[in-house]
Amino acid sequence: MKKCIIVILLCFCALTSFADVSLNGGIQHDGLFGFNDQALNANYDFPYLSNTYLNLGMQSTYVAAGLRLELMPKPLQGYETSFAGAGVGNLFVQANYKWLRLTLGDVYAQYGSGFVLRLYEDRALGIDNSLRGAKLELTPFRGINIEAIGGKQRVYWNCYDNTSWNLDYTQGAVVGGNMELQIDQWSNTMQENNIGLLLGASYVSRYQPMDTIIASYSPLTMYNLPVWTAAADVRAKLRIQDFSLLVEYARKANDPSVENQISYNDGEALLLSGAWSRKGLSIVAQIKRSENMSFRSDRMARGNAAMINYLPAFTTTHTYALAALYPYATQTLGEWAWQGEVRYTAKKNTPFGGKYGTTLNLNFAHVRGLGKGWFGVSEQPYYTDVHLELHKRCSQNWWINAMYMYQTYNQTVVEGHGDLIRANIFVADVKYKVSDNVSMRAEAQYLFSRQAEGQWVFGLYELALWQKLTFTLSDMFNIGGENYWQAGATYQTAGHRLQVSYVRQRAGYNCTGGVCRYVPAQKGFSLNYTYNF
Amino acid sequence: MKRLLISLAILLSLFGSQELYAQIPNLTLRDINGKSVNIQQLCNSGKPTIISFFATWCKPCLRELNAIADVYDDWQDATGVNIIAVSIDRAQDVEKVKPLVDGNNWDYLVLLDTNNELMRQMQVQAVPHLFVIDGKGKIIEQHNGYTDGEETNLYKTLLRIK
Repeated sequence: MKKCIIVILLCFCALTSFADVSLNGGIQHDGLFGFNDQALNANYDFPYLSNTYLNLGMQSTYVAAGLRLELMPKPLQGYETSFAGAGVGNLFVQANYKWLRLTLGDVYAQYGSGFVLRLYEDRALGIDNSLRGAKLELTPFRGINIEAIGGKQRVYWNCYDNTSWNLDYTQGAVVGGNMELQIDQWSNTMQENNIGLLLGASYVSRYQPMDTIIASYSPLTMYNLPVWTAAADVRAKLRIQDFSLLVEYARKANDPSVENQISYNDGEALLLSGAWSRKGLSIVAQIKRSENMSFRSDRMARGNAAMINYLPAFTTTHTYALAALYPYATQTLGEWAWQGEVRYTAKKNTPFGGKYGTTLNLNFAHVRGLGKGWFGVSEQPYYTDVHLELHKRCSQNWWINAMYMYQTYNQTVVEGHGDLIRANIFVADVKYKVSDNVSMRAEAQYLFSRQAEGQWVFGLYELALWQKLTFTLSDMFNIGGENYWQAGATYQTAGHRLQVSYVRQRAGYNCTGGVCRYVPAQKGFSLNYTYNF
Repeated sequence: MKRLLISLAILLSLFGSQELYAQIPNLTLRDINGKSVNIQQLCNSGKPTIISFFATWCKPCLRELNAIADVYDDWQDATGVNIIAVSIDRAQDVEKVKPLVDGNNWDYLVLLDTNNELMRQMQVQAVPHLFVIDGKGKIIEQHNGYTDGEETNLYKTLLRIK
C-alpha cells in the first residue's frame, strides 16, 4: 500500500512539469495532548491523539485528478472505532469534454435535498460515504442535466479489508440516476418575467447479497432480506419574481434493517418550502414529514456508517455555545417538522434603523414524532426553538448581535435518557473596532432551565491584532457544577491557519445538519493547523 | 513510513521550487435567482475577483461579508473587483440564503453550491474561506477563517493586482 502511495505522489510530482496543469491542495492536522481529569471523566491511553489529512488536486483543460491521504492511527476521541487507520481515503480521475464529464474512482453526489442520495465528506463527524466506481454527468442541451452513478460505498477502511479494494460489486453496490430540467431555459417569456421552474427526478438502488435473519426460534420465523432496495425522489421548484416554492417527495421500498427493526414497510419523506424575499423583508415557511427513510448500503449498519442518504434536521444550526448546548438530531424512524423565519431590515437613517440599518430575525422550529394516521403527531414534542435575533451597527466602531431563544428539547427521544428540557437563553455579542489593527469582541450568554444541569453562564473575550492574530478566552460555567474553559491563540497568514489552545471541555454532541457525533469530555492542549495552496 | 515521508518531502520541495498556482474549476452553479453561472468564465473577466465561501449559520462568515459590504462600493470604484459569495448551505437551508442576502442588503453575486462540488474542487474544508483571484483566473491568495479587520489587507492586495 505504501509503495502505491509513493508511486501516486511521484506521478503528481511529474505532472507539475506540464505547463497547462494546475495544482491545488491542503493539509489539515487536528491534535490533542490530553490530560486525565477524574471530575470530567476524561481519560487518555495515548499522550497525543490526532487526525491528519493531505489533499492534492490536479486540473487541466480536459483532465482532473485528486488524492486524499488520511492519517489517524490514534484519532481524536468520539469517532467510531473503525475510524482509526491510515491510507488513501479518496482517489479519482476525471475527464471532461464539451457536455460530458466522467469520473472514475471515489465519487460524491447529491440528488435534490439528499432524501435518496447524499455522498459527502464531513471531517468533524468522521463521515466519508463516497462510492468507489464511476459517475457520469451529461448536459447535452441547455436546461437538461443528467447524471448516473454507481459503485461500492466506503465504510471507513473497508477497501483495505478485502483484496478487491472495494471493487467487487457482488459484495454490495449502490447505483443511481438523476435528471433535472430547467424549464425556464427554453422560454424567453418566462425569463423576461423572472419566472423559473426546475423539475427533478432521481432513482437509487442498493444491492446487498442475500441474507436471512432468524426472528424467533419458537415458532421458527425467518426473514429473507431483499437483495435490491430502491428509492425514488421527485421535486419541483417554482420561482415567480420574489416568491419561490419547493415541493419534494421521496419514497423507499422494502428496506428491512437493524435500524428499523426489520420492517418491510415503505419509507417516505415530503418537504414543502415557500419563501418570499426582497431587500428589507423576507418570509420563509417549511414543513417536512419523514418516516422510515434511513437508507444505508448495509442493512446491519448503525451509527454514522454506511449512510446513502441524508435527512435534513429541520432546526436552525446554532453556533453560540449555550444555544448549541442541546442540539437536535433527526429521528429516522419518523417525525413531523415545521420551520419558519421572518427577517426584517430597517433602512439606514430611519428611527429604528439608525445611521447604519438594523436587522431583526424571528425564527421558529418545531419537531414532533408521528402519531395515528398520516397526519397524526406525537403527544410529546421532540424539539422547539423560537428565537429573536437583532443585529445592529451602533456607530462607526460598535456592533451588537443580541438574541433571545426559547427551547424545548426532548432528551429522552434524542439521547435515550433524561427529561423534557425547557430553556430560556439570552445572548449578547458585542464587537468594538479600536483601530484598523486592533479589534475586540465579547460574548455574554445565560441559559435558565429547571431541568437537566440547570443554569449555565458563558463568557468569551476575543482580541484581534494586525488582521492576523487572535487571542481568545472563554468560560462556560454550570451554576452549581463544573467550569469549562478555553484559552488560545490563532494565527493566520496567506493560506496558513494555526490555532493552539488549552481546553477543558464538557462531553456533548457535535451536530451538523441532523447527523451527530458524541464527543467525550476533553482536557489538554489542542493544536489545529490548516494550509491551503 | 520513512519512504513515504521522503516522497512527501520531495513532493513538497518541488512545489516550493516551481511557480505553481491553483486555477478556478470549470463548474456551473446556480445563483439565488436560479440562473446558471460558469465560475471559471466569471473569474477570467480581466478584473480581480473574490470568492468567499459562507453558510447562513456561520457567524464569522456573516461578519466578514458584512464588513466587506460596508466598503464594497469603494472597492469597486478603485479596483473593479467582483465579489462572489458561495453558499454551502444544504437541503432546506438553501431556501434561507436569498432571504439572508436580501436582509443584509448584499450586492454580491451569490451562488448555491448545494452539492459542495465547488467546495471540494477548491479544497475548502471549513468556512469562512476566501480566495483572491487576479483578472486571468489565477488564485493569488486565500484565507481560512476570518480575523476582524482582515478586509484592510484584502483591499491592499486588490490594489496591487488590479
